Amino acid sequence: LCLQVFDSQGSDVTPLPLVAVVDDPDPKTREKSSLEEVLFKKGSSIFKSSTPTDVVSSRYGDIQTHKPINMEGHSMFIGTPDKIFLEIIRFVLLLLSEFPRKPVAEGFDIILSETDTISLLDLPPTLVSEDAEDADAVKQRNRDYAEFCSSKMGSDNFFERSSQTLVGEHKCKYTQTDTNKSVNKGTIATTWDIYDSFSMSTENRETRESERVDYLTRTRNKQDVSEVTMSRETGKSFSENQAYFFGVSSAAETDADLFMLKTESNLEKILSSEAFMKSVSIMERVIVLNIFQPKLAAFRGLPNEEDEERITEEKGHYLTPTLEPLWTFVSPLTRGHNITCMTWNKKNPDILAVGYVGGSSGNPQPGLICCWSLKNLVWSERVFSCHSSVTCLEFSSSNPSHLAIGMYDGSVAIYNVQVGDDTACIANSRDCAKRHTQPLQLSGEEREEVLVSVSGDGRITKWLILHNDFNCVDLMILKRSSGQGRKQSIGGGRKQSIGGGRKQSIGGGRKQSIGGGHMHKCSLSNSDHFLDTYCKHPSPVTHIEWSPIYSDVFLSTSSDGTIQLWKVDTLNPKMSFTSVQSIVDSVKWSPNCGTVFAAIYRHRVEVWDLCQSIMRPTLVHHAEPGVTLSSLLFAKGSDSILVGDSRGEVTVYKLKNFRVGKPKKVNKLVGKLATQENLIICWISFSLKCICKHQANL
Amino acid sequence: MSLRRKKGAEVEETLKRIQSQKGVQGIIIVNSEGIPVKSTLDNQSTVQYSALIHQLVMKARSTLRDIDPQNDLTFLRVRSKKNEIMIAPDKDYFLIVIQNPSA
Repeated sequence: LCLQVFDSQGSDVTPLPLVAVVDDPDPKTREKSSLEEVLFKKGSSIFKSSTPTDVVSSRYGDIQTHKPINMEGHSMFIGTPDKIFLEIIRFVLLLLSEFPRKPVAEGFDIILSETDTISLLDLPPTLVSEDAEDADAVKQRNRDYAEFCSSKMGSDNFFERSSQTLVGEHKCKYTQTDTNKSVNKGTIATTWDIYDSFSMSTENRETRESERVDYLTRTRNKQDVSEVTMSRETGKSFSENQAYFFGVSSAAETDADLFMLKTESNLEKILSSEAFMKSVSIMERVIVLNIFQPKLAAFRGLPNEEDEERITEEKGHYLTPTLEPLWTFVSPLTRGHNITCMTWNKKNPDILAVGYVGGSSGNPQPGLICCWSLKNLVWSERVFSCHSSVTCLEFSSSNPSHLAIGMYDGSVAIYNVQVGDDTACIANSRDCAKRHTQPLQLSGEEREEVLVSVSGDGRITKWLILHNDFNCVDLMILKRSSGQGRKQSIGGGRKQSIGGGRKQSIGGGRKQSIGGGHMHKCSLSNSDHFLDTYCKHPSPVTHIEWSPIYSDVFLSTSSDGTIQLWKVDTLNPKMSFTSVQSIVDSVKWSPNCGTVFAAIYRHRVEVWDLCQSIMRPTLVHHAEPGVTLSSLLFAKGSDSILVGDSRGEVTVYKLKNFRVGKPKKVNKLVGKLATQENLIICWISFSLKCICKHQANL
Repeated sequence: MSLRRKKGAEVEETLKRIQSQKGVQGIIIVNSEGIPVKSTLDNQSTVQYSALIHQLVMKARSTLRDIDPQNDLTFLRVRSKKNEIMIAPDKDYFLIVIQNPSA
């Protein structure tokens, strides 16, 4: 039977088969199927049990032998009412199947109606009037009967027993439904979940509600919405989120467009957020640190596995000290700019500020300052541009984020490096014709920090910041001594008071300035004249550097290629170092070891270790051809030096195979300097490693 | 250029620099629902990484916060034999970078 039923809308409402239908063996006889045949067909298990029973009254007893009945006539059926109803349905269907198949568009109506009520037993009572003659007899009979019924209970004449009725055979009913879909939902109330809910204020909750409503209206997949928002809020298990995610990925096409739009706007929002910028910069640092990890480990002096193997192999051999390049601070912005000065931050020793000369050839050339961090070796953290080339810079000790710079045209500026793009205080260019300024800073613990600059026009000035003003006060004017030539490059050496304020209270800060070949000692408190003059160099002095460890010793370099070591109270240099006849640009003491200093010539770097030899440098490093080295800096706590060159690159080198002072050499040194008694004590106290050895020898 | 555009350009530049660093295999940005919004890897890897890493980060975050609810996860690094996965999680996004520094 492939019958299909369609309702007026054309949808399929074919009732599903309830019983596995056994195929009609002879379809041809279907034409004249009668009710009787339907009801009593072989193979139909339904009617096996519907044989007349004692329950059914005799009126229906002879239905079996009844002739076939017409549909329209009184229908009398055997069986219980619900069975009958089902059979009606079946019969109707069978009949309908005989009709020629009508086109689908035309529907036909099946009308089902109730049959008449079937009465199984009907015994009408006989009514007798009260005035009738046998009324009393009837009443008596009724009474007797009632008595009889009530006496039936406990009497022996009547025995109650049950009788078996014929139980109809069970019929299997099959039904078909859609499965009930079940969705599992759970939540875990974790401690932080509770904390979050409590710490959210009511306003926050409201905004979250509105957010959620917006989200609801925008989403297509309604069934997972609540799960997603809940998981977003409480951050619980990801399984529902994942379901949503995969559901999304298989969305229909029209939904896919919406989806793309939504993610694009999402991307925009994410990329422009502050937190993302921070995350990205941290990520960059992490990646760069990963790449440069061995180099940085070498910089910090941490043992590297490969190095240790090499060291154990080469023990006992004396290897030439060399400079091993670790990495280079360079960026596209700084390429080609000559580096003039470098300095470390006082508070955070990982931050390096480098001053560059401007690249363009205009006059005045604009300068550049870059702040590099050891955490990101690839890109400078800050870039500031200034209107003139930078000649020197210095970080402040009391405000560690302030950077003071001196420029070629004589102006001084202070930058606040914490801010990305700002210049803090005013760049002051009011001073007349100051060139080659070298700002110094005196750090005092009792007094406030003072920014002092020395410049080529002979003035030593102190700079003050009042409110919004950047003012300067002349401390001293250096007179040119005996007409030395027109161009005087005056620089200054900074004295760093290690012992705190005590030394400074004597003479204020002490500074020195260089005039062509001469060095003057002056103090802040006495501004009239110099205290002392040191003369030794025939040609202009290029640089003075105080020793960071011993406060009365300084080095001076000049363009005659010599380096002189002085002690403050003697007017003649204690020692003199020469290696090549070339202008010495700069010299720096090592902050780690008191007898080590480095000097930078135009094309080479020399590192001297006075414990090893005072005649020749311990380490010589040549620059690449075509490159001029211009700036030098030691790194505190690390065996490294930084060299800046004319290409705009700062290369970090590690001092390799650089062993500081062997005990035998100390004795030699002691012997040699026996005549200069003060110095012996100085020298021995410098090298911390030598102290104990010397004492042991003594 | 408005400040916002400037910052956006800076972010783009930094992302480009990261991409060009040695050994970086891929960058994925995932939004708060776990859908990758930007990626330099192919689609299948992206989907896989973002789904799995989302689970990991949720677990890590929940672990930390169970110990101390006032604490929160700021960075997660997973170092494996072949490479390293670095994740910067946030309320609104995840930034995932896969790098093999010795390659």
